[in-house]
Amino acid sequence: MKGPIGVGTGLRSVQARRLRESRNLASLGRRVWRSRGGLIGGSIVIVALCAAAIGPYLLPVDPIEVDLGNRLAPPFWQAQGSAVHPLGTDHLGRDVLARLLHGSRISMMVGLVTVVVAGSLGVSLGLVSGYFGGTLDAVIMRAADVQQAFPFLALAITVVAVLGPSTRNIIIILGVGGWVLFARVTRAEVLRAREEVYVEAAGSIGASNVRIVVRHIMPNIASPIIVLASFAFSLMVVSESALSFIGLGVQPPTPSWGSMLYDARNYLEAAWWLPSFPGLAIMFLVLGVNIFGDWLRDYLDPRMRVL
Amino acid sequence: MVFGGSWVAGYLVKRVLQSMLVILGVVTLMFLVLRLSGDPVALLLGMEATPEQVEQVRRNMGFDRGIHVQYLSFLTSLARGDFGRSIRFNSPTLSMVLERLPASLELAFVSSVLATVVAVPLGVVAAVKRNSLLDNISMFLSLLGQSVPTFWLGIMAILFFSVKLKIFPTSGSGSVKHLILPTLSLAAYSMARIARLTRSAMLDVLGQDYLRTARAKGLTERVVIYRHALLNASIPIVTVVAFMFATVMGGAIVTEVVFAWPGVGRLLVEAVHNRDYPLAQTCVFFIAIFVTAVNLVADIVYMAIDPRIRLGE
Repeated sequence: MKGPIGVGTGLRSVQARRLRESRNLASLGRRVWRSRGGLIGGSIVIVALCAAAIGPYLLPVDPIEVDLGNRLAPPFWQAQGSAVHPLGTDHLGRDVLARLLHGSRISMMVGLVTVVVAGSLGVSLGLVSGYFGGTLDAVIMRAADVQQAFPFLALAITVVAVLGPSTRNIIIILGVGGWVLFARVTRAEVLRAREEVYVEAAGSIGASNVRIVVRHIMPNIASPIIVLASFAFSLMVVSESALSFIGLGVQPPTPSWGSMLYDARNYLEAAWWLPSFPGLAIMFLVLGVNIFGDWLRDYLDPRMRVL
Repeated sequence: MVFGGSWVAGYLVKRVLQSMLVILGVVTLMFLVLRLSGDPVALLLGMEATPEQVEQVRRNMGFDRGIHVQYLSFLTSLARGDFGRSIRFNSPTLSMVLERLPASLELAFVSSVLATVVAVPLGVVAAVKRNSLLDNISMFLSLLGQSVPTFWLGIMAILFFSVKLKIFPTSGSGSVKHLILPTLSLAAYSMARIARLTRSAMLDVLGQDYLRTARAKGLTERVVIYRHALLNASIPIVTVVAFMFATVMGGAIVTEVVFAWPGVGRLLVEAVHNRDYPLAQTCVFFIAIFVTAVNLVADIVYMAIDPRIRLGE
């Protein structure tokens, strides 16, 4: 935003106030309830979280138990389907619904952990880069340029080639690889915040660099980073599913939405439900997070652009 | 352009040098990634190698020397065009990748052009007719398009159009019919992103004073929107189009696997499954070169459309 200083600080204070408000859960809840995007997106996210948290208890079926007598059973509404396996079974007779519910845990766990890792790394480097500038800034930003010369997935695949595929390695690769997103946004925000009067004021009364960064800059740049985290979560869930789909992510028999699609690739003609449901689950979760993220951005940070 | 001639040349030289620095960084990163596992020889040979073989390869490939010596010799052999040999096929990786490159570029170009040609006008119309039915429908579709994993869209397209309706072939390449499903499924995500960004960039511009001036001059609405508004909104649009090009190269890797498309992406995935690291490395190197080139072109386009950049302000 290139505008008069007054406009910038005005929006800043709106952001800071809304961020403070959002710590009060009741008032945040009211805001969400009143908005269409927040309500729809938030509901989808909560449904998905509940499915992951309690779904496996409501449906106590072993997701990796093989039942070869019952292979490729269709969902219940089709002629050969039965209520025992509501969404059918896969090529080894495993229950699709149970695998979806257990898979949601893996997919969301990978998404959350990678966002936390990428966020911590990226925000720290972005803070250092933006606040101190100089050689360190140049080095960090050139490293970011280099990494962004690779499509995210291409780099992840190459590292899998060396480390070998496993759930743990996927988390490491996606987490470490995601730092650039957070570092760029954090750096840009720090550069902006550093020029603000309150930073100068804090410096002139003798606050240390650490104190200025932690107490004054971080709360003021938190909004765009929270918004970014929601979109990064979508990116990570989709990346995990893509890697697992090509057999380089979560390994069988562990169910994840991506590894279910991997298993389904040879049964497109025989069993439409095998590729359909895991993909719908990914779409449902990502759509919910994206709608909620859009709302969050409009709410916390009106000047941010759709990217 | 006339006044800024020497400045333009300087800017171009600087950007090209920067891109070369990025390529050097890419090469360095590839060199380092191979050493993440600890012993690159074990990785290159696999589990079954005898200790004698390991020792032999270690000496042949120079892994017994200091790491800086290895790095330099790695750089010089790349400069000579020697990208190493595929472990599985025992042929030069460079020619294997170059053979697959046209198919990948075809897929990436056709779907990126398609996405841009559809999405930019759609975004413009959505912004001009804000809150209309068309705006709401196209923005809902683009929200959906942003949330569907590209490769899954490809699987669903095969399921519906190839398996059920039998209109298009399920896999392979060679004809226009083969190209349609992979391009469409790959273009959907970029289309969604570009349409949304075009809409918001246009909304930023539409309220500006110079548009009122343009209308007051008696220009037709068409000229006002497409010449005055769109041109001023084009910097963020060019940024997102360039970024989507790079993303398409990434998404294409998995889409190529879905449609058995004979491109670099599928070669890369096969190489990783065969633990053929030299081949995987060369694939990724060329993907990175391509992305860097697209970014360079995007910067040159900025310069052409934005006089502030052109004149060095």
